[in-house]
Amino acid sequence: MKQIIFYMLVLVAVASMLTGCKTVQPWERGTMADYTMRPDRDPLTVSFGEHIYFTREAAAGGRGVGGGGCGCN
Amino acid sequence: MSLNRNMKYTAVLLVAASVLLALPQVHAANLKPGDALPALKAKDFEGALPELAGKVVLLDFWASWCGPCKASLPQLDKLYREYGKRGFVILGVSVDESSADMKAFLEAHPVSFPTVRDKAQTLVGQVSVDVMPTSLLINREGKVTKIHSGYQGEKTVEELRAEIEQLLGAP
Repeated sequence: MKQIIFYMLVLVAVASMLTGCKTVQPWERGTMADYTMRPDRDPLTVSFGEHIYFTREAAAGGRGVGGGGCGCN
Repeated sequence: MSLNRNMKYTAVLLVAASVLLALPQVHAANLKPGDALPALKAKDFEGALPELAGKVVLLDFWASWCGPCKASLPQLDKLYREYGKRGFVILGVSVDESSADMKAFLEAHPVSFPTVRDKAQTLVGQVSVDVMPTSLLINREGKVTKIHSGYQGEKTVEELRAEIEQLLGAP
């Protein structure tokens, strides 16, 4: 019986965690569109990353998409 | 572990319920052409609502963080100045969470048409826009005639111009 209660509690915990999932609506994307959400906001970090890609994979460039995360238009 | 039948059913129900609740909400615009515009006076806006009765209205949802909105607002302002005297009005509805963000944006990019802020995002939630910006064109009877999702530059402006002229009728 204790085992059953344990598994039921686990199920309830998982169920309650899953209900935390939420779709961010188009008008709620202000935070995602913030400048701090841009992966290329720090030029030094970008150049480090580029250097790693270049030395490890002989790859360069290809970071062409600008803008934040507002997903506008 | 041996679960009896009731326990098994309960477990299955719980899992099914959790998966259903976790599924992304299906997003669909609530308003469609032909529908009446929801009553604006009942909404919690920051800013004064202009008189819209009997006018051709363009309700434009925008936000200070939205790049295409920044491009569209000056063009909408031109349309407002061009057709305002013939009974056309634009109501800008900012969906910014912060009043300061909206004000700072409007100071940097002023427009001559009235703008309010949908403080609790109730109207935009009711309209359920697909993208930002979205504008609704409303005829003199208060019915939505066209929904423009996004801003595609000159193409959108020309479409709006033709639709506004059609709704306004002969000068």
